[in-house]
Parts: sequence; structure tokens; C-alpha cells
Amino acid sequence: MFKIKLEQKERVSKREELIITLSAIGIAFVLSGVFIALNGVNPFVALWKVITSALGSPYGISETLVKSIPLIFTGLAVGIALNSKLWNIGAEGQLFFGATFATAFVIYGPVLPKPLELTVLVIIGAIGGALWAAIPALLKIKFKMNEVISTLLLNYVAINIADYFLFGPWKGKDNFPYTPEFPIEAKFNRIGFGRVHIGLFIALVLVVLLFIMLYHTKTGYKLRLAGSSLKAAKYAGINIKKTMFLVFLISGALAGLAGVSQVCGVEYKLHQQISTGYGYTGIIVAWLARSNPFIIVIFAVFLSILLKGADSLQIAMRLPAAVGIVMQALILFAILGSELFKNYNVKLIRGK
Amino acid sequence: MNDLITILYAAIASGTIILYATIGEIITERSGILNLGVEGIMLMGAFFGFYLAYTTESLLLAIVGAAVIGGLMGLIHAFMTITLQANQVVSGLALTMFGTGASAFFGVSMVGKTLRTSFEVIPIPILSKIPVLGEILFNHNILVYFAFILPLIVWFVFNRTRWGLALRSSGEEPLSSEIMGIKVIKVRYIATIVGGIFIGISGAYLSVAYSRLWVEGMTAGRGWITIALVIFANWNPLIAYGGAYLFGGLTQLGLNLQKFNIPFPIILLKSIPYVFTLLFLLFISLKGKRSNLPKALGESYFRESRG
Repeated sequence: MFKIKLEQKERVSKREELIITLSAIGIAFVLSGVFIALNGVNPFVALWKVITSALGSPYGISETLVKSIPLIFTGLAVGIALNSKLWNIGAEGQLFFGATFATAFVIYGPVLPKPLELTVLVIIGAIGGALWAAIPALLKIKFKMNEVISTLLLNYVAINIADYFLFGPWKGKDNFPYTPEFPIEAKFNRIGFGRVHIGLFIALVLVVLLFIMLYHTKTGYKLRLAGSSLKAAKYAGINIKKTMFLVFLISGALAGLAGVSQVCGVEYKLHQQISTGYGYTGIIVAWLARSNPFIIVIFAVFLSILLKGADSLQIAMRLPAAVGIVMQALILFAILGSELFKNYNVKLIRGK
Repeated sequence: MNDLITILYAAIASGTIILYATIGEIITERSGILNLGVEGIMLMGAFFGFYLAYTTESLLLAIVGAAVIGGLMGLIHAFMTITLQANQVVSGLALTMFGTGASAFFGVSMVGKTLRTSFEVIPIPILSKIPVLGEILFNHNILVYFAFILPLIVWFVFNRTRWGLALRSSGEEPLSSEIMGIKVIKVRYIATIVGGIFIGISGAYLSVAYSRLWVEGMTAGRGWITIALVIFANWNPLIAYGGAYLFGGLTQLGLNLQKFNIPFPIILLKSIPYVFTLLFLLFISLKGKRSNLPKALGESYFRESRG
């Protein structure tokens, strides 16, 4: 039998940390290769396909960026909560709720001049996401209910509510579950690079704003203190419950924006596939980025390379669509497992 | 009356899915390991069980295979959280994602297939003849019957054996347990694997015995409902009966609302299980009793830190 012996490292260099993370990603790719090979596809060809389809042409890069927009929003949503040690596993549901709210305004509201219409849609979508996040927030604050479970369960309910409208009052003329196409006033402008839309700018502005808020304002200080130590936060006279509630509202609003950005920026209508699990991928993004808004952008782009690549594998190599989820899970596992090696020297020793 | 019997019968049949998984998760959590991968393990068990039942036509193999895959998933979580000391929440989420993805990835070939074999209903002699009760309880397949006794066995092991003592103390006071000679790491590994085995079986019961087909993501959140029911059951396998069957009953009742002429948009009925789960948790929180919550649940255990 072997035993594992851990010795705490005195210092962890950035370079060493980077090497460990990259090795972990390498291991995840090797494991993904095993999965792909099990389906009778040459894993090297598949990996090459992932990279070339996502980054090998202007079209590929633009499509990768399109996918990164909702991921930045959901990554920020999960990240801001994580900063205060709260788990928002409900970004997927908040995304759908935000999208449903925005769609409701498009369908029932007046058509306003474009800049005003878009502003209203963004605000309404953010409110929708925040409202949906307020439920688990209240359940946690008033009744100490674990937010991991409540936010997750509410995802199913939110998607169900969207389905109710899609299969009911909003269904298409041909009885399929999608709304009519949005009018031009409700469509985000494109920025002149493929389907990339102004949602990208909104996302990047929020990245900067959140960074400033978190690290350079009193509110941000409170949020981070509440996350690092409840005791210290109480001692500093911070109202923990109020802070938690605020964090959930911001988090939900950000996820709601991902929904608005999908319906107004990409799909131009509400339907069941506006998100391919962006809320869940956002958890990975936020976790890998240690909730740092700028690093969230990097990992959002990295994961959207995978998502775009997985789409191409599905089309070109007839691999099941789920290959993308498997790859994401393996990357999460690999990096999660590599954490130990960053802080400890791990030695195998012979033991009894 | 007949409607009610049908509903209660369905409550037992559907509650069984959750009962197996709840028992599995209770075993794992009692050792101090929080496994949020239930949804993913169930899906792997459901797919693998269905695949084996379809290709080999052996029900035994289907259940054993699902148990093995469930145990392996548990092993992954144990290795991540115990040996590599990874965050238990994140590892569980990764496991759910992996199980969801891998089962859908391999499951493509099984979509739309129908099984030629299935678990037959075995009426229990004499008992099944009891009016009403017999119809509801004693006209099921063998997996349902086994679920009747499983919580009793687990309760017995927990409270009347040295094994159970080791398990519970690992979840409460890992450090002092180690001093008393309990191999906490070994106990937690075994508990997480055994928990995975029962969660895997619950998945196979779902696909092979209950719905008799494989659909991507067919567990539809039951894994998360399970995690909530463990809290509802106060980590007690005997209360898990109540939780699982009550939950099955309320869900079936909700799904049959229109039978009682209660107007409710049919499509929204799908939300009932999730809303009920939240209400269950709310009820427990209002009661304020969570006495069996393992003190060390979710915390990494550093054996070296005794040092």
C-alpha cells in the first residue's frame, strides 16, 4: 500500500500555479479524448477540430464570442455570490426568468424608440432575474434554507414557467413553442463582426463596474468581508442578512441579463433552447476564475471555445451533443483535483 | 376511491425511486461527506441499467451493473474530496455534470428503445388480499419490496453495529474518532461508494422498472429532491420512508389534480415536485429540529493536521 504525504508549501509561485492549471487542462483533454475514442472517432482529429472550428476562422471566432457573452453574465452572476461564499446554482433559471420578463414586455408592452426600448428590456430582464433570485435569498435569510438546493430546484420551476407561456399564450402560429420574432426595436445591434452583438459591451462594462464595486467601494468591502468571515463581518457591524439579500439580487439580475442578451441579441425570440446550460457553465467559469471579474472574461472565452468546438464535433463528426458537457465536467474535475498540488508537495510513500 | 388507490399505489412506486437514493445519500452524509452528485449518479445508473437490460435481457445484470457504476461514481467523489481534499460542493456539482453529460453521450443509442424484459409484479400471498392496503402495498415488483426493508437494515447497521458507530462518529468528530482507532478515511471512502451504489440502483429502478425507457436527463431533478429529503428525514433512514412515500403521494396527488376537477394549467403541474420539495424544507426549517446533522458534514478532513 502507498500512502500520500502532504507537505505545505511555503510559497506558491504564480508560474508554478499556472503550470499546474495548464497540466490539469491537459489531463482533462486526454480524458475527453478517451470518451471521444470510445465513440469511434480519432481524438486527435476531434481536438484539432475543436480548436480550428472555434479559432481557425473569423466566423469561428465570432461564433465563439457570441457564446462567451451569456457566459460572462452568468459567470459574473455566480462569481459575485461566490465572493460572499454563497452558491447561486440557479443562474440557469434566472436566465430564463429574465428572458421571459423581457419577452413579456416585447409582446405586451408598447414599441418604444429603439434606444429606449432596449434600455427598458435590459432593466426588465435584470429585474426578472433578480426577482427569481430573491426567492432563495428570502428562504435562506428567513428560514436558513440551503441555497444550493433551493436555487437549483427553482431552475426547473422557472423553465417550466417559460414553457407555460411558450406552449400557451405565446406559442407560434404553427403551434410550435416559440414566440414571434421580435421587432427591430427590440433587437440588439450587431457590432460588425459576425453575430457578435452589443451585449458584449454591456457585459464588459459590467465586468469593470463590478471590479470597481468589489475592490474599491465600501459596499464591495462589505460583500467580501461577509464572504471571508461571518464573525469579522458582524464585528465590523455589517448587516449580514441585508448584504446576503443584496448579493442575491445583483447575482440574479446579472443572470437575467444573460437571458435578455440571448433573446434580444442572438435568437430574436423566446424558445426552449435559448440557453445550452449557460447558467451551469457559469458556475465553472466563476469557480475557475476565483470570482475575479476580469479572469471571468478569460474563462468565459475559454469555455465558449469548448462549446463552439463541441457544436462542430456534433455536426461534423456526429458525436452526441453531450460531448460538450462531458468535457466541461472533466475540466472542472481536473482543475479541482489539481488545487491540492498548488498548496502542497504531494509525495507517495510506502506505508503499511 | 379507486382513483385514490391508484394514486397511492403510484405514490409507493414513484417514492421507491427516491427512497433508494435517499438511503444512499444518508449513508454517505452520515460519514461526513456531502455528495451533491446524486442527480448525475442516478442518471448513470438509469442509463447503464437500461443499456444492460436491453442488451443482455438480464434484469439482475442491469441492477448489478447500475450498482457498480454508481459505486464507481461514488469512488470518484471520494477520491476527489478525501484524497485530493477538493471542495465537496464543487466536486458534487462536477459529478452531476459528468453524469448528466456521460449518460446522454452514451445514451443516444438507447433513445426510443423498448425493453423486452421487465420486473414482474409479484403479489405477496395473503397480504395482497387485504382490501385497499394490500392493493396499495403488496402488489409490486421485487425492487419495491426490497426498498421496504432497506431502511430497516440501514437503521440497524447505523445504531446496532460497530460499523454504524464508526460511520456516525466519522461524520461527527473525525479527529477524535481517529484517536479512538477508527480509520476515518477508509470509513468515508466506503460510505461514499456504498451510497453511490444505492443511488445507482435508484436510477436503474427508474429506467428499467418504473418508466421502462431511457430518456436523456430523465431523472428530472430527483437527485436534488433526494438531497432535500435527506434533510427532511433528519439523516434518519426510518424517517426516509415517510419522506419518500409522502413526497411520492403528494406529487401523484398534484399530478392528478384535474381528476378532482381542480382547474390548474396542466403544463405547470410539472413544477409540483420542486415546489413540494421547497415546502418540505420550509416545514423542517420551521420545526427547527435538525439534530442528526453530521457536525463535520462537508468539511475536508486533514489527517496530517493533527500533527
